[in-house]
Amino acid sequence: MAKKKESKQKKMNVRVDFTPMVDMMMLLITFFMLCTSLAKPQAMHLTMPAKDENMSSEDKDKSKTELTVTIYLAGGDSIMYYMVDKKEDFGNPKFMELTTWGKDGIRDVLKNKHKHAPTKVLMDAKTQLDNWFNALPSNQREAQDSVYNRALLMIKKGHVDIVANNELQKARYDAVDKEMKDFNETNMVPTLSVNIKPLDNSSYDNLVTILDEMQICCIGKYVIDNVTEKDLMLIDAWKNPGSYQPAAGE
Amino acid sequence: MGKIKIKKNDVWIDMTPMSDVMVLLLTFFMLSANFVKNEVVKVVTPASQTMAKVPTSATLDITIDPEGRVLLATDKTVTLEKALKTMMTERDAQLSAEQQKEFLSETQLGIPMKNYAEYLGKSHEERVKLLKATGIPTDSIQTRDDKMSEFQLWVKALKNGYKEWYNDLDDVEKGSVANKLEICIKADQKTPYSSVKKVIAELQDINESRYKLVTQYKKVED
Repeated sequence: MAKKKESKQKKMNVRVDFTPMVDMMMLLITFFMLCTSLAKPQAMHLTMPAKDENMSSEDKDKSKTELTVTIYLAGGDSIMYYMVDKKEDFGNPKFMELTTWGKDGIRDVLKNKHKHAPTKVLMDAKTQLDNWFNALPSNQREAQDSVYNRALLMIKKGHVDIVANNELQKARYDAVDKEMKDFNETNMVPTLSVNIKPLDNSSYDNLVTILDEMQICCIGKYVIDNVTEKDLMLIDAWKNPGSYQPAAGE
Repeated sequence: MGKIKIKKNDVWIDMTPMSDVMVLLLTFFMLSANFVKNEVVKVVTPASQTMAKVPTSATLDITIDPEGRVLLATDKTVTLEKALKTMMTERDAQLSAEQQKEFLSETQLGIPMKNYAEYLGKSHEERVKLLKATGIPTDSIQTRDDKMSEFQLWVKALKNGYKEWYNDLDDVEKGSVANKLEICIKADQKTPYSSVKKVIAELQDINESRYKLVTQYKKVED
């Protein structure tokens, strides 16, 4: 009998109460939820040309060709674009057009509306490149990252033939790579260059959105330019049609 | 006598699974955490589809609020300390050792140099109010030969401060840090372009032409 009692005493309750632990966890989680942010901000690269007073207005005028689109950002989130078919038409306000933001507005203009260099070709090439890159096994992706970026640069320059059937054409890619290094690039589609001219009353949001649109539309050549007297006159003339008289010699 | 036997329920709840879940959640939050900086002037940045992340260290944040006021911040205290020394001689402002210490504990700087001594003597609430209403002057100082503005002086001093610190490192350490401060422009959605233009023009004047525009992620609509 005595022996049985002894063995009963040894039986201990091994259950641990976890409630305080859970309480503490709750506190910690609350702390982390309140003091941290999950979304990391994104960075958009922007390189402005260094200030160069030697650049003459003649050089600036060289950019005025049929391959240039000028985008004016104005107050109240409005956006206008100026696009000419022939070089001679430059300065005529009737080529100014009001558009909207987003895919049916300015993106559609850049993508399809331009007669000589619609960016749709480039965007399609980029989609194919993306498909190729995303189809790669994940262990190869990091190694191919520089190739991807270089290929994207080529597409932006107009070498759309480096991709076909959702594959990167390695032979063509290498050939273009060499051409670019030797500065004798050939065989590319015409590309658009864009002058972005934000008026003083446009907002920073407009600027970022349009820069973003440049990335989406695969435009390699774009510049943020200051609005000049001429631009203001052009906008004025567009707003009040009829007041425009082509200046002699223009 | 019919005795009603009330069954004594065991009220012990097993907390182990609960604790397991909690640990998982906690681990998730700890790993994905990036702490919110306690900035006085906060801005709502515009959205873009860019995937690149803002660098986590060696940044020089230029905040431009909707009214066009400019504030600076950097994550490197050493840099700030060196820059403060330069600025004190440049702008002929004196801060006592205690005030300098106080200065370094501030997260953002947005007060004209000559007012800093007065500003640091104020209470926290008053400082917040002042910081929200002042900003670093961006107009050029006419008495200077190079016509630089206080904002330009600050950017230059911070850049040089970082370079000095970086050059003092040995080669092993140099490999693990960025070799220069990265300029991040953080402007509010509603900031008028004219204010942004002014800041960028001033940066171009001191030969700073590469920036990162801080944005939030947004999916492309197609």
